[in-house]
Amino acid sequence: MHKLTASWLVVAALTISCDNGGKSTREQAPPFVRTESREACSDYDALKRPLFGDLHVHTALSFDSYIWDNRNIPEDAYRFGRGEAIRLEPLDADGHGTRVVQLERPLDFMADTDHADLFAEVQACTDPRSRVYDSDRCVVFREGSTSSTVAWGMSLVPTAPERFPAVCGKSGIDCAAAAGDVWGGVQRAAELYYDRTASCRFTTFVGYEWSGANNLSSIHRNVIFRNAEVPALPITHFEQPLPEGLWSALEEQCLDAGTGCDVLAIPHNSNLSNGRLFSTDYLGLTDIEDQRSQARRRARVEPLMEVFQHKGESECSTQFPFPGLQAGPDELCAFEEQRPVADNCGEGEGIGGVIGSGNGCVSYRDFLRGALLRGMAEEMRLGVNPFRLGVIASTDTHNATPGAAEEDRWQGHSGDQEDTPVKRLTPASLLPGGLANNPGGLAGVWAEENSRDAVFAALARRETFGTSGPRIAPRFFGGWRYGGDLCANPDLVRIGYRDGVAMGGELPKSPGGASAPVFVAAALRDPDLTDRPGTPLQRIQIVKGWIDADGTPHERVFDVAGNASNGASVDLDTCEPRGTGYDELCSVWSDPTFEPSQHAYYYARVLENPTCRWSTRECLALAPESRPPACSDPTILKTGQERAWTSPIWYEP
Amino acid sequence: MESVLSDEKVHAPPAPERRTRGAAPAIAIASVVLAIAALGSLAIARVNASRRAADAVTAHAVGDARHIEVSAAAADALAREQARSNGTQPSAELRALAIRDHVDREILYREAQALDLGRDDPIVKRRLIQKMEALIEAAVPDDPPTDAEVSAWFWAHSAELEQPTRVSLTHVFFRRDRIDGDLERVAAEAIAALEGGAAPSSMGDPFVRGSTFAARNRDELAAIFGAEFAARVLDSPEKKWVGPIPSSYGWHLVRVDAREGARLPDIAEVRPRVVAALVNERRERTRRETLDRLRSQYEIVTPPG
Repeated sequence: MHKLTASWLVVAALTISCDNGGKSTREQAPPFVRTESREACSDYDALKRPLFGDLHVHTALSFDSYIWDNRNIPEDAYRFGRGEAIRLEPLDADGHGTRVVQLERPLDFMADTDHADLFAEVQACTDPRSRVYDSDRCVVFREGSTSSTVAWGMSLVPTAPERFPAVCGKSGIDCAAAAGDVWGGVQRAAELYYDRTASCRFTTFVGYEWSGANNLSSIHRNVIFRNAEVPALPITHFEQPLPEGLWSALEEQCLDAGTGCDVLAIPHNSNLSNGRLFSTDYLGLTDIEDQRSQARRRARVEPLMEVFQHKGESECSTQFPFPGLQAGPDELCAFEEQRPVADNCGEGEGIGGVIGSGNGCVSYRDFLRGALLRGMAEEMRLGVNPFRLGVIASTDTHNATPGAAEEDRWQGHSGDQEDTPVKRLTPASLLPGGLANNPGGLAGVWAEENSRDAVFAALARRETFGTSGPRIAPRFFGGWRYGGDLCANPDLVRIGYRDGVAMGGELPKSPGGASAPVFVAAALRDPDLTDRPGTPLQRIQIVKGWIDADGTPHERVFDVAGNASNGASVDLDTCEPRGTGYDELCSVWSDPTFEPSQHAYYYARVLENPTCRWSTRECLALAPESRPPACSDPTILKTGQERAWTSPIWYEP
Repeated sequence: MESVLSDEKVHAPPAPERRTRGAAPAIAIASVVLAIAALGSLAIARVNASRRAADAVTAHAVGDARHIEVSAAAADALAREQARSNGTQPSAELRALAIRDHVDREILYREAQALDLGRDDPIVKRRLIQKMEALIEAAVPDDPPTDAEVSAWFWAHSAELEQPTRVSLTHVFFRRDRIDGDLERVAAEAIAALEGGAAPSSMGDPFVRGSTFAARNRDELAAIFGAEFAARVLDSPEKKWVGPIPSSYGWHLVRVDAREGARLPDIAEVRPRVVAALVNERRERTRRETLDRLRSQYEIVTPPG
């Protein structure tokens, strides 16, 4: 493809290349809108590529990252993400990091999502020229103790929050101006590292984290902007203490502002939210129209959730099913499950999930499957589904190390809290952490090219997936007339789009005569690098959840490809894998339990053969006499099956 | 025993000698006496210290440093800051109060300087170092690098600016287990069909990551197909179907559609990067030269070895 510079030429070229062999009746418009001017990518595929990224990244701009001694700033995070080495604390006498870290492979895209709520306060306390630098608040902050993490974190809990008077009050600084300065720096860093040339090697997004911890529950969201058109200040917990307020403000200041701004918010760690992240109390409003309006706004601003990261998985649980659900437990949900033992919130909500096990409760709504069912129940009741959730994963690194999700070289994600094997292998006391944590995962999208517009459009339409770390590439299509031999057809992907919908979509209306929907699930394993082979796949599953007309929930996991009994295992003395698996899998599957009157969702889960958990590898690398108690604790899982999850496809009667 | 309030050392009375048995009560009494004596010394030290503190109330700043003038402009600035903090214009009384506070702070600052209180304070030291660094930074010339400088840097760093070989390719994928019979024969037949005009998208097995790739370098191809495939394909002849080439997934027939050999980009393409590097170098050089100049005017003594 020639290098084109004028955007109208780009549009023209797009229109020509859009012809993928058959008109798609659902998409008369171009596949995505171009909202910025840049060189056209030389690599463009109308049938879309898998791109891997990280949309949850903290640097020293975040209060907790700074407290934990990380000094890497957004520029360092971007450099790491695109494949360069950076240094981590502990810091030497000159303030330089002493650990060198580098990704095996660069990411395709990422966003720096620091805690914007306390931008000004961190700036004020770390700039020696600031008026409040020597205040007690700032001196204690720079000492870097747990009490600071708690004190600063607690400011994000009240629903009538107040900034620290010593910093932002009368004798303090102009915190709005300081926050604006920091936000300007965040934007400049994203622009500096965004590859706008035809190589399209690396895409960055301007973003931040809204970090409300109301009721000591984790209800955070990462706010990701499509392009450089962003509000003057980030909307944080102090301006909008409730998520509903965040959504309204994002609509007002971005989505409906008429400035070309576009945004979405991605909640994470529902597993620590005590039933609150996916609550359906609509601020206590009882009028149906008010509830519909809330649900619509939520669905508009939050089309995705982060299903896996450093602080565990939020896909499903072994202990907290949807009330009334008739289904056996899914043992595979024990993978990186943070809180298998906790009180059950039931239909209610609790307090205290963020401050360690033993507090708060766990709800069926804290997991993707429960939230999806709840969303369909709301659809039946209101006519609007607030939880039509696509999935991604990310790391939540607080070391400015996006994409550092590899199990065999993890250096921790929380600065000096996790910077030695012993610290990583110790169960946490106050905040969730230590042994129960893991290196996190990656966000995946299927997009025509690696540019902001293409990747953001994929996020918005939910053509996304998450992985627990490996670069598995999963495809998932749903339709009514896929032939059973499609897996032998080299044109599978083109036919997948032509005759159905991809992950994240809704099944088209059933043509008369079709008895059940047909799904195509396929995946390629992580390929072999020069010094590190990829792990074979074991199987692909399709998870179906549905609600019948009287509201009874159902859930079932179907194995559709591969072999659950392939006997693959791991030698626990060496972490050498044993047994065979698959380089790629493909299956065409028709739903044997389909009833046309029932709302349903379907998503694909791709499982690798078992491999050693990071903790097992760390233990093996330590001399026997130096191994902490965790290494001989039989309740800690020693192996796991890394995996990928696709966004669901929904069926509506 | 050293008093924290003054430089005077208060000496403790000497320790009592060892006594023989039977003298224990005497020791106890002696200890009490000594304790009282010690307390007494402390008391003396404290009185001495408070006398010192009283002396300290006299100003140590001398001469011009004792002259403080608050200009009209400065007073206005103080009033504006008050207005911004409080949201309203300050009354005359509040203005006067602000000025007095400002003056008091200035007095304390000058006294602190006269007493050299900043000498051993690491926070003050670091701040002063930062101010000097900022001064040096401000002295760096900020005119943009000339074309000649850009060109010179470009050619001096051409090795690191070189872009690796990139290929665009189309491929046909065969699953490992799908090849029945002799792999080489099957591949040769398929290649013959392709060269005879068969469409690549009609042959082989589906490869869900795509069938054509544009301008990918070796690392990017390895990230898709595996390292071995990438190495093999990089050198394949153009516009010709070759195979079977193994990957992490099975076997492929590959046609390299275009190759861009390792090349040096145009200066125009990389100018922003070169300019950034030049500005950085200039900053570093200025800093080094300034420090060298200053160091040459100091006498430095360091431990041997």
